[in-house]
Amino acid sequence: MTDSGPSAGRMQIPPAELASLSGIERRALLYARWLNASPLHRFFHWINTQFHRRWIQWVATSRRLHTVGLERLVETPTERGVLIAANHRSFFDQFIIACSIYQVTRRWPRFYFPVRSDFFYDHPLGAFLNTIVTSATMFPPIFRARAKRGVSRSGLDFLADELRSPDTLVGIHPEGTRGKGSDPYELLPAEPGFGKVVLQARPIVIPVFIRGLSNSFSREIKCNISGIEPIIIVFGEPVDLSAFDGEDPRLLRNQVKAGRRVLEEIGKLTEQEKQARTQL
Amino acid sequence: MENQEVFDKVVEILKPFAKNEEALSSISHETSLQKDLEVNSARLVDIVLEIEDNFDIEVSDDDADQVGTVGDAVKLIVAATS
Repeated sequence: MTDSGPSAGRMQIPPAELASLSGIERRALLYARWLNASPLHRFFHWINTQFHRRWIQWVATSRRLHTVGLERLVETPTERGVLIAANHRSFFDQFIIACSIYQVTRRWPRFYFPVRSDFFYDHPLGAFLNTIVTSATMFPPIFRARAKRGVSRSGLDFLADELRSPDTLVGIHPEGTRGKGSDPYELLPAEPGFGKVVLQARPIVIPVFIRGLSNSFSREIKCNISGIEPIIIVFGEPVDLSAFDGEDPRLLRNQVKAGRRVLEEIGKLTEQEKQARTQL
Repeated sequence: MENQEVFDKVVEILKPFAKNEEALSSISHETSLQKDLEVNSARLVDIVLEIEDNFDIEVSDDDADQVGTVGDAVKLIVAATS
């Protein structure tokens, strides 16, 4: 696999940025990029949404998942891509959110959720799991190291490009990392990179609040068998970003403001989640 | 604005964010914000925003990414204000 020649749906990575990665990181990234841009993508998308979704839901969430406002998402306008902006407490948040979406609609043939590169892009087992379980939809990778930031930036530019298409659904955690405090309703500050994607692409941003998942898949299975520990996902109305019309997406301050705006809307959903929880 | 003046102001901005008092007391242009001053990476954005407010400048995300040392911050500010 070489990095040459542009094509639709293919992340552009300048050679100098690619050279900043280790051998395994480079291979994992190029492979994931190839998989996402290849004609096989449609087949793998079907595997994800019709096969993996079903067994994940059957073993882990079928007896305990409750959604609020999912119909709002299905009814959103179709002129551009949709960005699901969700709070982050569990490794499985975006998996379960995506499963609930694709259970009711097949509207978006392209789905990405960017992940930290640790494990999925710097370990053979991680790269293998990314392929087998998600068909490399955990893409693009976000690298922590300063020297590799160019690759992360290329990834965010790729997402912004893809989100201009109504065929694309992207799941991002604006906080960039899992909240580990004792309060599940506390939100961390949004990463500027998230704000940059929002301002560059101006997608339809749907705020989502999810609560109820842990970081142990075996625990999720046990809870589902017992029908305990409900998982609640609240989908909000599209975020009004008109205040950012004409604002320069390259300015850090604007990126921070956009991120805060979206987090504010996610925060408002906690009341609906608490209400739904008391009614169970 | 003189480089020294900018440097002094930047040090004042950094004080509440720096966790390493020893590195702060011997701060220089080569001092790294994360490695030496042990500034939390999540607070780097706040530092850049403080710099914007204090010097009345606008910083792009690309330029913010280049700020790794105190000297980088000074260079950015001097370039933006000249």
